[in-house]
Amino acid sequence: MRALGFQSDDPEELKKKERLHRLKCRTLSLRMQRNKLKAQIQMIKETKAALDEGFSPDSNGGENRAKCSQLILPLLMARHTELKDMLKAHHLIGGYDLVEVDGGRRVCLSLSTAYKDTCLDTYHLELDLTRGVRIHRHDIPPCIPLTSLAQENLQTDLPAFLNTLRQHVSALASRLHQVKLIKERLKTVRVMETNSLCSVLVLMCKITGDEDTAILFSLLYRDPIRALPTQVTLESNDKSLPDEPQWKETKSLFLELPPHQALLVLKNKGKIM
Amino acid sequence: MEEQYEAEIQQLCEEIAMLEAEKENYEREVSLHYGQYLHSMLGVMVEDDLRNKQDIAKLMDEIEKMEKNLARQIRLNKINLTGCCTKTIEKSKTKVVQQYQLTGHCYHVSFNVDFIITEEQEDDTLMRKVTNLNVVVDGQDFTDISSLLSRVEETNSLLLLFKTLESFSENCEHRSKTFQHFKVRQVS
Repeated sequence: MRALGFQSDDPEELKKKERLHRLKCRTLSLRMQRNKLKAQIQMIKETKAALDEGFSPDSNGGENRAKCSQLILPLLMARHTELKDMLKAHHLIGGYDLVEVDGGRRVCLSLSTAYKDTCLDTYHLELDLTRGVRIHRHDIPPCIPLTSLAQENLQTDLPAFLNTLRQHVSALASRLHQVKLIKERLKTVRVMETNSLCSVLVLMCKITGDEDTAILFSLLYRDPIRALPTQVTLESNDKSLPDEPQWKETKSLFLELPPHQALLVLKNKGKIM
Repeated sequence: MEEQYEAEIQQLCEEIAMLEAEKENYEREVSLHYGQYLHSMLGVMVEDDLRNKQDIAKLMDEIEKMEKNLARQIRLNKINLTGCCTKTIEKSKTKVVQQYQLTGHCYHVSFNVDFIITEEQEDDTLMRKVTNLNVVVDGQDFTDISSLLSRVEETNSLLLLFKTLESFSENCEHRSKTFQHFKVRQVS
Protein backbone atom coordinates (compact mmCIF):
# COMPACT_ATOMS: atom_id res chain seq x y z
CA MET A 1 0.00 0.00 0.00
CA ARG A 2 2.89 2.33 0.87
CA ALA A 3 4.38 1.71 -2.56
CA LEU A 4 1.29 3.17 -4.25
CA GLY A 5 1.73 6.33 -2.30
CA PHE A 6 -1.01 5.73 0.21
CA GLN A 7 0.65 7.16 3.24
CA SER A 8 -2.11 6.95 5.77
CA ASP A 9 -2.81 4.01 8.04
CA ASP A 10 -6.39 5.01 8.69
CA PRO A 11 -8.62 2.34 6.99
CA GLU A 12 -11.33 4.91 6.13
CA GLU A 13 -8.75 7.17 4.57
CA LEU A 14 -7.32 4.21 2.63
CA LYS A 15 -10.73 3.21 1.31
CA LYS A 16 -11.35 6.75 0.18
CA LYS A 17 -8.05 6.91 -1.67
CA GLU A 18 -8.66 3.53 -3.31
CA ARG A 19 -12.05 4.67 -4.51
CA LEU A 20 -10.63 7.90 -5.88
CA HIS A 21 -7.95 5.94 -7.70
CA ARG A 22 -10.54 3.63 -9.25
CA LEU A 23 -12.65 6.58 -10.39
CA LYS A 24 -9.60 8.23 -11.91
CA CYS A 25 -8.69 5.04 -13.83
CA ARG A 26 -12.23 4.68 -15.10
CA THR A 27 -12.32 8.31 -16.22
CA LEU A 28 -9.04 7.94 -18.12
CA SER A 29 -10.19 4.74 -19.81
CA LEU A 30 -13.50 6.35 -20.85
CA ARG A 31 -11.67 9.40 -22.18
CA MET A 32 -9.52 7.09 -24.31
CA GLN A 33 -12.59 5.27 -25.56
CA ARG A 34 -14.26 8.57 -26.46
CA ASN A 35 -11.19 9.83 -28.29
CA LYS A 36 -10.85 6.57 -30.20
CA LEU A 37 -14.48 6.82 -31.33
CA LYS A 38 -13.94 10.40 -32.48
CA ALA A 39 -10.95 9.28 -34.56
CA GLN A 40 -12.93 6.42 -36.06
CA ILE A 41 -15.76 8.78 -36.99
CA GLN A 42 -13.25 11.10 -38.67
CA MET A 43 -11.83 8.14 -40.58
CA ILE A 44 -15.23 6.96 -41.83
CA LYS A 45 -16.24 10.52 -42.80
CA GLU A 46 -13.04 10.87 -44.86
CA THR A 47 -13.66 7.48 -46.44
CA LYS A 48 -17.18 8.48 -47.44
CA ALA A 49 -15.90 11.79 -48.85
CA ALA A 50 -13.24 10.00 -50.94
CA LEU A 51 -15.79 7.52 -52.29
CA ASP A 52 -18.35 10.28 -52.93
CA GLU A 53 -15.72 12.10 -55.00
CA GLY A 54 -15.57 9.09 -57.25
CA PHE A 55 -12.61 7.11 -55.99
CA SER A 56 -12.71 3.63 -57.44
CA PRO A 57 -10.52 0.66 -56.51
CA ASP A 58 -10.45 -0.51 -60.11
CA SER A 59 -8.27 2.25 -61.55
CA ASN A 60 -4.55 1.47 -61.79
CA GLY A 61 -1.59 3.16 -60.21
CA GLY A 62 0.53 2.96 -57.10
CA GLU A 63 -1.25 5.97 -55.66
CA ASN A 64 -4.43 3.98 -55.93
CA ARG A 65 -3.00 1.13 -53.86
CA ALA A 66 -1.91 3.53 -51.16
CA LYS A 67 -5.37 5.04 -51.02
CA CYS A 68 -6.95 1.58 -50.87
CA SER A 69 -4.76 0.73 -47.92
CA GLN A 70 -6.14 3.81 -46.13
CA LEU A 71 -9.74 2.95 -46.87
CA ILE A 72 -9.65 -0.76 -46.13
CA LEU A 73 -10.02 -0.52 -42.36
CA PRO A 74 -13.07 1.79 -42.34
CA LEU A 75 -14.69 -0.28 -45.10
CA LEU A 76 -14.15 -3.45 -43.09
CA MET A 77 -15.62 -1.78 -40.01
CA ALA A 78 -18.62 -0.73 -42.06
CA ARG A 79 -19.08 -4.31 -43.26
CA HIS A 80 -18.84 -5.52 -39.66
CA THR A 81 -21.65 -3.16 -38.60
CA GLU A 82 -23.71 -4.22 -41.62
CA LEU A 83 -23.42 -7.89 -40.62
CA LYS A 84 -24.15 -7.08 -36.98
CA ASP A 85 -27.34 -5.30 -38.09
CA MET A 86 -28.40 -8.24 -40.25
CA LEU A 87 -27.84 -10.77 -37.50
CA LYS A 88 -29.77 -8.63 -35.04
CA ALA A 89 -32.62 -8.21 -37.53
CA HIS A 90 -32.81 -11.98 -37.89
CA HIS A 91 -32.97 -12.31 -34.12
CA LEU A 92 -35.70 -9.68 -33.82
CA ILE A 93 -37.93 -11.38 -36.37
CA GLY A 94 -37.71 -14.68 -34.53
CA GLY A 95 -34.73 -16.35 -36.14
CA TYR A 96 -32.91 -19.16 -34.35
CA ASP A 97 -29.53 -17.35 -34.19
CA LEU A 98 -27.61 -20.49 -35.13
CA VAL A 99 -23.95 -20.34 -34.06
CA GLU A 100 -21.43 -23.13 -34.54
CA VAL A 101 -19.09 -23.91 -31.66
CA ASP A 102 -16.27 -26.34 -31.14
CA GLY A 103 -15.39 -26.60 -34.81
CA GLY A 104 -18.91 -27.49 -35.89
CA ARG A 105 -19.37 -30.32 -33.40
CA ARG A 106 -22.02 -28.35 -31.54
CA VAL A 107 -24.47 -25.60 -32.38
CA CYS A 108 -26.15 -23.01 -30.20
CA LEU A 109 -29.66 -21.82 -30.94
CA SER A 110 -31.91 -19.28 -29.37
CA LEU A 111 -35.68 -19.13 -29.18
CA SER A 112 -37.05 -15.63 -28.75
CA THR A 113 -40.50 -14.96 -27.33
CA ALA A 114 -42.76 -11.95 -27.25
CA TYR A 115 -46.22 -10.84 -26.18
CA LYS A 116 -47.55 -8.43 -28.80
CA ASP A 117 -45.13 -5.50 -28.84
CA THR A 118 -43.10 -6.54 -25.81
CA CYS A 119 -40.08 -8.81 -26.23
CA LEU A 120 -39.87 -11.42 -23.50
CA ASP A 121 -37.24 -13.95 -22.46
CA THR A 122 -34.99 -15.72 -24.94
CA TYR A 123 -34.37 -19.42 -24.33
CA HIS A 124 -31.30 -21.31 -25.48
CA LEU A 125 -30.36 -24.76 -26.72
CA GLU A 126 -26.98 -26.28 -27.42
CA LEU A 127 -27.06 -29.32 -29.68
CA ASP A 128 -24.35 -31.95 -30.02
CA LEU A 129 -24.04 -33.07 -33.63
CA THR A 130 -21.31 -35.68 -33.32
CA ARG A 131 -23.50 -38.78 -33.09
CA GLY A 132 -26.89 -37.86 -34.45
CA VAL A 133 -28.49 -34.85 -32.81
CA ARG A 134 -28.56 -34.63 -29.03
CA ILE A 135 -29.37 -31.84 -26.62
CA HIS A 136 -26.15 -30.89 -24.86
CA ARG A 137 -27.33 -27.98 -22.72
CA HIS A 138 -30.41 -25.81 -22.44
CA ASP A 139 -32.25 -23.32 -20.28
CA ILE A 140 -35.76 -24.43 -21.14
CA PRO A 141 -37.95 -24.47 -17.99
CA PRO A 142 -38.54 -28.00 -16.64
CA CYS A 143 -42.31 -27.70 -17.02
CA ILE A 144 -41.88 -27.91 -20.80
CA PRO A 145 -41.79 -31.58 -21.94
CA LEU A 146 -38.44 -31.19 -23.72
CA THR A 147 -37.41 -34.86 -23.61
CA SER A 148 -40.65 -36.18 -25.08
CA LEU A 149 -40.64 -33.48 -27.76
CA ALA A 150 -37.05 -34.43 -28.59
CA GLN A 151 -37.94 -38.11 -28.81
CA GLU A 152 -40.57 -37.30 -31.41
CA ASN A 153 -38.57 -35.60 -34.09
CA LEU A 154 -35.23 -34.13 -32.95
CA GLN A 155 -33.30 -36.69 -35.00
CA THR A 156 -35.53 -36.79 -38.02
CA ASP A 157 -36.83 -33.26 -38.54
CA LEU A 158 -34.90 -30.53 -36.77
CA PRO A 159 -36.92 -27.59 -38.16
CA ALA A 160 -40.19 -29.22 -37.06
CA PHE A 161 -38.80 -29.96 -33.58
CA LEU A 162 -37.63 -26.37 -33.19
CA ASN A 163 -40.96 -25.07 -34.43
CA THR A 164 -42.92 -27.10 -31.87
CA LEU A 165 -40.52 -26.22 -29.07
CA ARG A 166 -40.78 -22.56 -30.00
CA GLN A 167 -44.60 -22.79 -29.82
CA HIS A 168 -44.36 -24.24 -26.31
CA VAL A 169 -41.95 -21.66 -24.91
CA SER A 170 -43.74 -18.78 -26.67
CA ALA A 171 -47.08 -19.76 -25.17
CA LEU A 172 -45.51 -20.19 -21.71
CA ALA A 173 -43.78 -16.80 -21.92
CA SER A 174 -47.06 -15.18 -23.03
CA ARG A 175 -49.03 -16.70 -20.16
CA LEU A 176 -46.39 -15.71 -17.61
CA HIS A 177 -46.38 -12.17 -18.98
CA GLN A 178 -50.16 -11.96 -18.77
CA VAL A 179 -50.02 -12.89 -15.08
CA LYS A 180 -47.38 -10.21 -14.61
CA LEU A 181 -49.67 -7.66 -16.29
CA ILE A 182 -52.55 -8.63 -14.00
CA LYS A 183 -50.37 -8.12 -10.94
CA GLU A 184 -49.11 -4.77 -12.26
CA ARG A 185 -52.26 -3.23 -13.67
CA LEU A 186 -55.05 -4.78 -11.63
CA LYS A 187 -53.92 -4.55 -8.05
CA THR A 188 -57.44 -5.18 -6.75
CA VAL A 189 -57.48 -8.64 -8.32
CA ARG A 190 -55.73 -11.39 -6.38
CA VAL A 191 -53.88 -14.14 -8.17
CA MET A 192 -54.85 -16.99 -5.87
CA GLU A 193 -53.18 -19.82 -7.65
CA THR A 194 -50.97 -20.56 -10.60
CA ASN A 195 -48.32 -23.14 -11.48
CA SER A 196 -44.95 -23.07 -13.23
CA LEU A 197 -46.46 -23.99 -16.60
CA CYS A 198 -49.17 -21.34 -16.05
CA SER A 199 -51.71 -23.94 -17.12
CA VAL A 200 -53.93 -23.01 -14.19
CA LEU A 201 -54.82 -19.50 -13.15
CA VAL A 202 -57.23 -18.70 -10.34
CA LEU A 203 -58.22 -15.07 -9.89
CA MET A 204 -60.25 -13.57 -7.08
CA CYS A 205 -62.22 -10.38 -7.72
CA LYS A 206 -64.49 -8.31 -5.51
CA ILE A 207 -67.94 -7.41 -6.79
CA THR A 208 -68.59 -3.70 -7.13
CA GLY A 209 -70.86 -2.39 -4.44
CA ASP A 210 -70.65 -5.46 -2.25
CA GLU A 211 -67.62 -5.68 0.02
CA ASP A 212 -68.39 -9.22 1.17
CA THR A 213 -68.96 -10.94 -2.15
CA ALA A 214 -66.06 -12.24 -4.14
CA ILE A 215 -65.99 -14.12 -7.41
CA LEU A 216 -63.36 -16.68 -8.34
CA PHE A 217 -62.40 -17.20 -11.97
CA SER A 218 -60.59 -20.48 -12.61
CA LEU A 219 -58.85 -20.59 -15.96
CA LEU A 220 -57.56 -23.86 -17.32
CA TYR A 221 -55.11 -23.92 -20.19
CA ARG A 222 -55.34 -27.47 -21.53
CA ASP A 223 -53.46 -26.68 -24.74
CA PRO A 224 -49.82 -25.91 -23.86
CA ILE A 225 -49.17 -24.09 -27.12
CA ARG A 226 -52.04 -21.67 -26.71
CA ALA A 227 -51.88 -18.45 -24.74
CA LEU A 228 -55.66 -18.44 -24.13
CA PRO A 229 -57.54 -20.73 -21.70
CA THR A 230 -59.60 -23.69 -22.89
CA GLN A 231 -61.95 -23.74 -19.92
CA VAL A 232 -63.33 -21.18 -17.49
CA THR A 233 -65.23 -21.87 -14.26
CA LEU A 234 -66.82 -19.43 -11.86
CA GLU A 235 -67.25 -19.77 -8.13
CA SER A 236 -68.45 -17.39 -5.45
CA ASN A 237 -69.25 -17.28 -1.77
CA ASP A 238 -72.66 -16.15 -2.94
CA LYS A 239 -73.79 -19.52 -4.30
CA SER A 240 -76.38 -18.14 -6.73
CA LEU A 241 -74.03 -15.68 -8.40
CA PRO A 242 -72.27 -17.94 -10.91
CA ASP A 243 -75.63 -18.95 -12.41
CA GLU A 244 -76.80 -15.39 -13.02
CA PRO A 245 -76.76 -14.71 -16.77
CA GLN A 246 -74.65 -11.55 -16.43
CA TRP A 247 -71.88 -13.57 -14.81
CA LYS A 248 -72.32 -16.65 -16.98
CA GLU A 249 -71.54 -14.57 -20.07
CA THR A 250 -68.24 -13.43 -18.61
CA LYS A 251 -66.96 -16.95 -19.27
CA SER A 252 -66.81 -16.32 -23.02
CA LEU A 253 -64.91 -13.09 -22.35
CA PHE A 254 -62.13 -15.06 -20.68
CA LEU A 255 -62.03 -17.56 -23.52
CA GLU A 256 -61.57 -14.84 -26.13
CA LEU A 257 -59.38 -12.27 -24.44
CA PRO A 258 -56.18 -12.57 -22.41
CA PRO A 259 -57.13 -12.43 -18.69
CA HIS A 260 -55.77 -8.95 -17.98
CA GLN A 261 -57.86 -7.54 -20.83
CA ALA A 262 -60.98 -9.48 -19.81
CA LEU A 263 -60.62 -8.17 -16.26
CA LEU A 264 -60.23 -4.61 -17.53
CA VAL A 265 -63.44 -4.97 -19.54
CA LEU A 266 -65.28 -6.13 -16.41
CA LYS A 267 -63.75 -3.34 -14.36
CA ASN A 268 -64.72 -0.69 -16.94
CA LYS A 269 -68.26 -2.07 -17.01
CA GLY A 270 -68.34 -1.54 -13.26
CA LYS A 271 -68.85 -5.20 -12.47
CA ILE A 272 -65.72 -5.77 -10.45
CA MET A 273 -63.51 -3.52 -8.37
CA MET B 1 -12.89 15.41 -6.07
CA GLU B 2 -14.99 12.22 -6.16
CA GLU B 3 -18.03 14.08 -7.41
CA GLN B 4 -16.00 15.67 -10.18
CA TYR B 5 -14.88 12.28 -11.45
CA GLU B 6 -18.36 10.82 -11.13
CA ALA B 7 -19.87 13.70 -13.08
CA GLU B 8 -17.26 13.35 -15.81
CA ILE B 9 -17.80 9.57 -15.97
CA GLN B 10 -21.54 10.12 -16.40
CA GLN B 11 -20.95 12.72 -19.11
CA LEU B 12 -18.38 10.53 -20.91
CA CYS B 13 -20.73 7.52 -20.94
CA GLU B 14 -23.46 9.60 -22.55
CA GLU B 15 -21.00 11.07 -25.07
CA ILE B 16 -19.65 7.60 -25.94
CA ALA B 17 -23.17 6.28 -26.56
CA MET B 18 -23.91 9.20 -28.92
CA LEU B 19 -20.60 8.79 -30.75
CA GLU B 20 -21.22 5.05 -31.18
CA ALA B 21 -24.59 5.83 -32.78
CA GLU B 22 -23.01 8.45 -35.05
CA LYS B 23 -20.24 6.06 -36.12
CA GLU B 24 -22.70 3.23 -36.83
CA ASN B 25 -24.93 5.49 -38.93
CA TYR B 26 -21.99 6.71 -41.04
CA GLU B 27 -20.80 3.12 -41.49
CA ARG B 28 -24.28 2.09 -42.61
CA GLU B 29 -24.32 4.82 -45.25
CA VAL B 30 -20.93 3.74 -46.55
CA SER B 31 -22.02 0.07 -46.69
CA LEU B 32 -25.20 0.99 -48.50
CA HIS B 33 -23.51 2.98 -51.26
CA TYR B 34 -20.02 1.52 -51.44
CA GLY B 35 -20.19 -1.92 -49.84
CA GLN B 36 -19.51 -3.56 -53.19
CA TYR B 37 -16.03 -1.95 -53.33
CA LEU B 38 -14.78 -3.96 -50.37
CA HIS B 39 -14.21 -7.10 -52.36
CA SER B 40 -12.22 -5.40 -55.14
CA MET B 41 -10.24 -3.35 -52.62
CA LEU B 42 -9.18 -6.48 -50.81
CA GLY B 43 -8.08 -7.83 -54.18
CA VAL B 44 -5.89 -4.78 -54.83
CA MET B 45 -4.17 -5.11 -51.46
CA VAL B 46 -0.87 -6.85 -51.09
CA GLU B 47 0.39 -8.26 -47.79
CA ASP B 48 2.87 -5.47 -47.00
CA ASP B 49 0.43 -2.73 -47.95
CA LEU B 50 -1.73 -3.52 -44.99
CA ARG B 51 -1.07 -1.03 -42.25
CA ASN B 52 -2.94 -1.76 -39.05
CA LYS B 53 -2.35 -5.41 -40.00
CA GLN B 54 -3.47 -6.81 -36.68
CA ASP B 55 -6.69 -4.81 -36.58
CA ILE B 56 -7.48 -5.77 -40.16
CA ALA B 57 -6.73 -9.47 -39.67
CA LYS B 58 -8.87 -9.60 -36.53
CA LEU B 59 -11.75 -7.81 -38.27
CA MET B 60 -11.57 -10.05 -41.31
CA ASP B 61 -11.69 -13.09 -39.08
CA GLU B 62 -14.78 -11.83 -37.26
CA ILE B 63 -16.45 -10.87 -40.52
CA GLU B 64 -15.86 -14.35 -41.92
CA LYS B 65 -17.46 -15.93 -38.82
CA MET B 66 -20.46 -13.59 -39.01
CA GLU B 67 -20.95 -14.29 -42.73
CA LYS B 68 -20.95 -18.03 -42.01
CA ASN B 69 -23.50 -17.60 -39.21
CA LEU B 70 -25.69 -15.49 -41.44
CA ALA B 71 -25.64 -18.13 -44.19
CA ARG B 72 -26.67 -20.79 -41.66
CA GLN B 73 -29.49 -18.61 -40.38
CA ILE B 74 -30.91 -18.22 -43.85
CA ARG B 75 -30.83 -21.98 -44.38
CA LEU B 76 -32.62 -22.79 -41.13
CA ASN B 77 -35.05 -19.89 -40.83
CA LYS B 78 -37.42 -19.96 -43.74
CA ILE B 79 -37.41 -16.16 -43.82
CA ASN B 80 -34.84 -14.75 -46.23
CA LEU B 81 -33.85 -11.13 -45.56
CA THR B 82 -32.50 -9.63 -48.73
CA GLY B 83 -32.27 -6.07 -47.44
CA CYS B 84 -31.77 -4.63 -43.98
CA CYS B 85 -31.61 -0.88 -43.51
CA THR B 86 -30.93 0.16 -39.92
CA LYS B 87 -30.64 3.59 -38.38
CA THR B 88 -29.88 4.46 -34.76
CA ILE B 89 -32.27 7.27 -33.92
CA GLU B 90 -31.28 7.71 -30.31
CA LYS B 91 -28.60 6.24 -28.10
CA SER B 92 -27.77 6.95 -24.50
CA LYS B 93 -26.21 4.94 -21.72
CA THR B 94 -29.50 3.28 -20.85
CA LYS B 95 -31.61 3.60 -23.98
CA VAL B 96 -31.27 2.71 -27.66
CA VAL B 97 -33.88 3.48 -30.32
CA GLN B 98 -33.33 1.94 -33.74
CA GLN B 99 -35.33 2.01 -36.93
CA TYR B 100 -35.37 -1.08 -39.16
CA GLN B 101 -36.49 -1.37 -42.77
CA LEU B 102 -36.45 -4.98 -43.89
CA THR B 103 -37.11 -6.49 -47.28
CA GLY B 104 -37.14 -10.15 -48.04
CA HIS B 105 -39.21 -13.14 -48.88
CA CYS B 106 -40.52 -16.38 -47.44
CA TYR B 107 -41.02 -18.97 -50.18
CA HIS B 108 -42.81 -16.93 -52.86
CA VAL B 109 -44.26 -14.28 -50.61
CA SER B 110 -42.19 -11.09 -50.53
CA PHE B 111 -42.49 -8.44 -47.87
CA ASN B 112 -41.41 -4.98 -46.77
CA VAL B 113 -41.46 -4.51 -43.02
CA ASP B 114 -40.62 -1.32 -41.11
CA PHE B 115 -40.49 -0.95 -37.37
CA ILE B 116 -38.81 0.82 -34.49
CA ILE B 117 -37.17 -1.00 -31.59
CA THR B 118 -36.69 0.70 -28.23
CA GLU B 119 -34.35 -0.95 -25.74
CA GLU B 120 -34.12 0.35 -22.20
CA GLN B 121 -31.85 -0.87 -19.45
CA GLU B 122 -33.72 -0.99 -16.17
CA ASP B 123 -31.46 -2.25 -13.36
CA ASP B 124 -30.56 -5.77 -14.42
CA THR B 125 -33.13 -6.25 -17.13
CA LEU B 126 -33.27 -5.15 -20.72
CA MET B 127 -36.73 -4.06 -21.87
CA ARG B 128 -37.33 -4.27 -25.59
CA LYS B 129 -40.43 -2.92 -27.30
CA VAL B 130 -41.68 -2.64 -30.87
CA THR B 131 -43.47 0.42 -32.23
CA ASN B 132 -44.53 1.82 -35.61
CA LEU B 133 -44.85 -1.59 -37.25
CA ASN B 134 -45.67 -1.31 -40.94
CA VAL B 135 -46.14 -4.27 -43.26
CA VAL B 136 -46.48 -4.59 -47.02
CA VAL B 137 -46.89 -8.10 -48.39
CA ASP B 138 -46.66 -8.91 -52.05
CA GLY B 139 -47.77 -12.15 -53.50
CA GLN B 140 -50.77 -14.12 -54.52
CA ASP B 141 -53.81 -14.30 -52.28
CA PHE B 142 -52.59 -11.74 -49.82
CA THR B 143 -56.22 -10.74 -49.28
CA ASP B 144 -56.52 -13.87 -47.12
CA ILE B 145 -54.34 -12.44 -44.45
CA SER B 146 -54.85 -8.69 -44.88
CA SER B 147 -57.13 -8.41 -41.85
CA LEU B 148 -54.69 -10.42 -39.75
CA LEU B 149 -51.89 -8.16 -40.93
CA SER B 150 -53.84 -5.03 -39.92
CA ARG B 151 -54.33 -6.43 -36.44
CA VAL B 152 -50.68 -7.33 -36.18
CA GLU B 153 -49.76 -3.80 -37.22
CA GLU B 154 -52.11 -2.27 -34.65
CA THR B 155 -50.64 -4.31 -31.82
CA ASN B 156 -47.04 -4.05 -33.12
CA SER B 157 -46.70 -7.82 -32.81
CA LEU B 158 -43.45 -8.26 -34.75
CA LEU B 159 -42.76 -11.87 -33.82
CA LEU B 160 -46.35 -12.92 -34.51
CA LEU B 161 -46.14 -11.22 -37.90
CA PHE B 162 -43.24 -13.35 -39.03
CA LYS B 163 -44.65 -16.58 -37.62
CA THR B 164 -47.86 -15.84 -39.55
CA LEU B 165 -45.93 -15.00 -42.72
CA GLU B 166 -44.02 -18.25 -42.43
CA SER B 167 -47.08 -20.50 -42.07
CA PHE B 168 -49.07 -18.50 -44.64
CA SER B 169 -46.35 -18.70 -47.29
CA GLU B 170 -45.78 -22.38 -46.53
CA ASN B 171 -49.51 -23.02 -47.10
CA CYS B 172 -49.42 -21.03 -50.35
CA GLU B 173 -46.48 -23.13 -51.44
CA HIS B 174 -48.32 -26.40 -50.67
CA ARG B 175 -51.47 -25.17 -52.39
CA SER B 176 -49.57 -24.20 -55.51
CA LYS B 177 -47.67 -27.51 -55.59
CA THR B 178 -50.91 -29.48 -55.16
CA PHE B 179 -52.52 -27.44 -57.93
CA GLN B 180 -49.56 -28.08 -60.23
CA HIS B 181 -49.76 -31.78 -59.43
CA PHE B 182 -53.41 -31.99 -60.43
CA LYS B 183 -52.85 -29.80 -63.45
CA VAL B 184 -50.20 -32.21 -64.70
CA ARG B 185 -52.46 -35.20 -64.04
CA GLN B 186 -55.35 -33.53 -65.90
CA VAL B 187 -53.21 -32.95 -68.97
CA SER B 188 -51.95 -36.53 -69.03
